[in-house]
Amino acid sequence: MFRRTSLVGTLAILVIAAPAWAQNDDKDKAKQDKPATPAEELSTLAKEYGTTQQEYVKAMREAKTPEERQEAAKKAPRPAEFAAKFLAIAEKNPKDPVAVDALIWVLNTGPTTPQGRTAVKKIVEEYPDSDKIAPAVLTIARLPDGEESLKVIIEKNKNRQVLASAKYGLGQGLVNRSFRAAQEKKEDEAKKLGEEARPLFRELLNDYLDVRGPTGSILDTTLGILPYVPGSSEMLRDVLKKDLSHEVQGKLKNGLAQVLKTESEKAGSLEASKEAESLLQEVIDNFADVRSPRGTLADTAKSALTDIQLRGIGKPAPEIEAEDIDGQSFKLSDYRGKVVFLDFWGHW
Amino acid sequence: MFPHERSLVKRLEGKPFALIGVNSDKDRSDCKQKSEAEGITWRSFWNGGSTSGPISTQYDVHSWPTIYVLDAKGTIRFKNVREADADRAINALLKEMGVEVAEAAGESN
Repeated sequence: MFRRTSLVGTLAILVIAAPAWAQNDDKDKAKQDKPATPAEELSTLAKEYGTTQQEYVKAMREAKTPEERQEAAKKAPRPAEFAAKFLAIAEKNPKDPVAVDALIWVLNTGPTTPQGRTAVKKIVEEYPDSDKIAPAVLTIARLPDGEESLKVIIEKNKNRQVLASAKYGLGQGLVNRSFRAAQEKKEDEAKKLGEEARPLFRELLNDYLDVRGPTGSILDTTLGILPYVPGSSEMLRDVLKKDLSHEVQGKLKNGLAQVLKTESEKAGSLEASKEAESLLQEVIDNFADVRSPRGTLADTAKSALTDIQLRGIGKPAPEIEAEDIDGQSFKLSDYRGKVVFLDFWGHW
Repeated sequence: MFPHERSLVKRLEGKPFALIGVNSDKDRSDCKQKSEAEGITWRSFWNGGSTSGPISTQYDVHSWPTIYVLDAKGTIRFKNVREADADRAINALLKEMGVEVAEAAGESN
């Protein structure tokens, strides 16, 4: 089952990007006697954050004993401290382009701090049309009132990267909520949320496949979530009717196969399972060269195909012969003649 | 814990139905103790004390819980159905055998 991608994952990417960006202003060192421009001020602070982060990571890596690890942990950059400093730069220079960058840094360093909340409010109220806010959008999506903030950004922004990230973030949030509602047996609410998410993913598939979001290509991230979006096989079939590049076609076919596989398992549909099987074979035969986030399309297609062939709908359940909890041996086939609910579980 | 499993076992008592677990706890006697305390009545295969034991490997299980629903012939008919979906799947398979069962609605806890 998919889980919410952690904030930490998003932040790590931004942090790695920080030192490279911070170097841009190195050439201005000659003008040391002049007061720092807002851009220089931001760059200095970003560098300071990067250095603190690097020293912390280094200390953690070198720590051997629990005591050393405890000591190293103290070197972690303090979210509220850095967030406050970045926020101060934004507030001091509201008209300077640097303000938006500084707000993004607030969300990068301390998304859940009070300063993070202020930064979101400022982005939504003062800079919702900024070209630069794509890296902040997925962070905003996961904060309280994220959905409302993203709706404002979608309404006011024209930048395709920002729009794609916002639509993805909004859709992902709705799918997560739908999934939780289903777990709580609120089937109607789950259905409603799923239907609210669907048009967003349809737009992403129709208009934003070429866009790179902050955590990778919109196509790859969207395909990862589609098995959990109701009606997504239909959307994928529609997009596949278009004239597409070899790469996009391969990825969409593999995505459709994964969606059909999940659908076939839930609905017990042999037909959907067979279609998934033949699509996966087509991907292996014709699109093996296309790179995907996890190796090549052939790798993901092969493991899905193997799963269908060995344990798919309509296949005989592999025999199990093992001990029960009390040490008594028994076999799965002992239960032939009964409907069996085979439940992989544990106390956790 | 396991309210849905419990209600399935109760609802389908006396029907040609079995809930079979594959347990991946680390400690067998601990699992036994907890299961008894929780009133777990269904039988489970022991996966060798690990989430990467032989049975979960054979069934390529990477997330928990994973569910397989088999018909009376031992054929895999549904996968990863939960709650109401699971009830519907099981009822459909029992119906194929000519066994009518009451709807699950309202008695799932």
